[in-house]
Amino acid sequence: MLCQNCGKNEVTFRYTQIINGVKKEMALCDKCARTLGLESLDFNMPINFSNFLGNFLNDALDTKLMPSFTKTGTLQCDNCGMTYNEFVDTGKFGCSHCYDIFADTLDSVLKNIHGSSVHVGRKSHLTPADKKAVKEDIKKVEKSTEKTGKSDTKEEKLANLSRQLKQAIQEERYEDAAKIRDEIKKLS
Amino acid sequence: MNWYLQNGKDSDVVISSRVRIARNLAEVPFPTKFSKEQAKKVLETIKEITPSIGYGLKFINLNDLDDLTKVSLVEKHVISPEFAMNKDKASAMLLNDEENICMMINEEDHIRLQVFASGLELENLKNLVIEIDERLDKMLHYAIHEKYGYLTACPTNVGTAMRASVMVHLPALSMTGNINKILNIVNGFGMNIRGIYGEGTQSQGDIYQISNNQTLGLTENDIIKNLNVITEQVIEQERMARKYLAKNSIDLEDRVYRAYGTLAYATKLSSDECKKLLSYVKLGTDLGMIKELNDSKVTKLYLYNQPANLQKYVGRPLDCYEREIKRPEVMKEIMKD
Repeated sequence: MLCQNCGKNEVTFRYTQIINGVKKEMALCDKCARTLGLESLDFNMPINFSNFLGNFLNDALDTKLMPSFTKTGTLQCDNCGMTYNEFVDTGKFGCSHCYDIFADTLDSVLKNIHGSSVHVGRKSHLTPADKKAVKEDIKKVEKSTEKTGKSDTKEEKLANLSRQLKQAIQEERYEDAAKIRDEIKKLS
Repeated sequence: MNWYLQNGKDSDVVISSRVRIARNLAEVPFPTKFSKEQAKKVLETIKEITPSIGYGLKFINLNDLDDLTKVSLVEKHVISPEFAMNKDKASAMLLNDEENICMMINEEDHIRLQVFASGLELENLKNLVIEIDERLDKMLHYAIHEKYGYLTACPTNVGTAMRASVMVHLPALSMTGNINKILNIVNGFGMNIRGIYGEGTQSQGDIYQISNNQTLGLTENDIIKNLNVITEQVIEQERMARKYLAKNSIDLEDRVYRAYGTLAYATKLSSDECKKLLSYVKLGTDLGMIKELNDSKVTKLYLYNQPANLQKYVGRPLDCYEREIKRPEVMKEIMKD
C-alpha cells in the first residue's frame, strides 16, 4: 500500500487516533511520518496517569468538611511553590516538604494506592544527628584554612589538605582524617 | 558477554529480572520543581562521589551519547524511553561496562538505581541494590520521612521506593488461550502484569513484565518474596502448557518449523514480524525441537533484531527499508555462527 501523504513510498507507519469517539486513520511511509512529527510517538505513548491520582485526591476531599476543602485548595508548599491543585493535575510532588504540607489528604491517597500509609522497610543508617556532625566538621576545617594568609605554596598545601580531610570524613576513613588533621595543625 | 546475552535460572520462561530503587537528595526539590542550577548541582554531587561508589561505574552525560546509542540502551531495557528522550533537563547516568548496574540521574527522581540479571535472580539483585544503596547513603543526604519512608516525586513509589520486575516469555499460555486467566490471577495478587511490546494486554512476541504495585507498607524482603512466589507459579503454568502442547506435537512442530523456516530464508523482515517468529523459535529451541539453534544464539537473535541494536551490529545507521533488508542477513549470520 502507498503512503497517503506523498503517494510514492510503501506504508511503514500506521496512525490511529480516537478522540471522543471520533476516529481518524493515516497510513504513511516513514519519511512522511517523520516530517509530520508522528514518529516520535514510536516510544510508549505518554499516557497521563496523573489524572488518576488527582481523582483519588478529590475523592478523599469529598469526605471532609467544607472548611478544610477550601483550605486545602489554596495550600502551597513554601519550599518549592507547588500548589495543591498542581499536585492534583500532575500527580507528583515538588519536594520533600510537600509530604508534610499536604499531609492531611496524603494518608487516604497512600492507602488507596498501597493499602497502607506507613513505611516498614529499610531506613537510612546514619541518623540525622550523625550527618549534621559530619557537615559541621567539614565547615570547621574550611573556616580554619581560610584564616591562613601566608605564602602561596603554604596556602595551596592547606587548601589541598582541607580537601583531603573533607573526602576522608565523607568516606568515613577516620584514621586518615586524623593524620591529615595533624598535618594541617603543623602547617598553620 | 553482558547479562542480556546470557541465560540464567529458569530462562526457558524468565528472560530477565530487574530491581530498581528511587532516591532523592534532601536539600534539592524533586525534578518536578527543581531549577536548572539545582539540577546541575545534583549532577555535580553525584559526579564527585562516582569514584567512591565503585562497581566500575562511569559517569556519562546523556548529551554525550548519540541517539542511536541511547535507543540501543532503551532496547536493552537498561534505561527508560522517557529518560532517553529527555533533552531539556540536566541528565546523566552511571553505568558499568557489564551494563548490569545503571543509575539514572534526574529522571523522575534524582536517583533511579537499577540492577539487572538474566533469568530469575531477584534475591541476588535485591542484595546488590541494597549494598550499593548503603554505600550511597554514607555519602549523600537522602530525603527520607519518619512515616512515609524514602520520599519520591510520585506517591506511587514512596516508602521502600523499590520496584522489582521480571520479564517472562509465555507462548504456550498464549497458544492454549490461557493468557487472560494468568493476567487476571497475577493482577488479583496485587502485582502488575503487562505486555512489553504492543498495546494493552496483548503482547507481541508473547513477552510480559510482572512487577510489584505496592512500595509502601511492606519490607524490601516482602516485595521480593511475593514476586518470586508469583513468578514461580507463572513459570509452572507456562511449563504445563508447553507439555500439553507437546502432546499434539505435529501441530506445535509445524508452527515452530514454519517460523524457523521464515527466519532462516526470508530476505525482508520487519522487527514486528521478526518478534513473532522469534517467539516460536525460542519455544522450539527451549523444547529441543530446533537442533540447529541453542539458547545463546536465540538471545543474540532477540537483541540484534531490534532497530537500534541492529544498526550497532552492522556498524552504521540504516533507514527503515535498509533495516528490513539487513535484518534477515544478520539473523542468518547469527544462526550460522
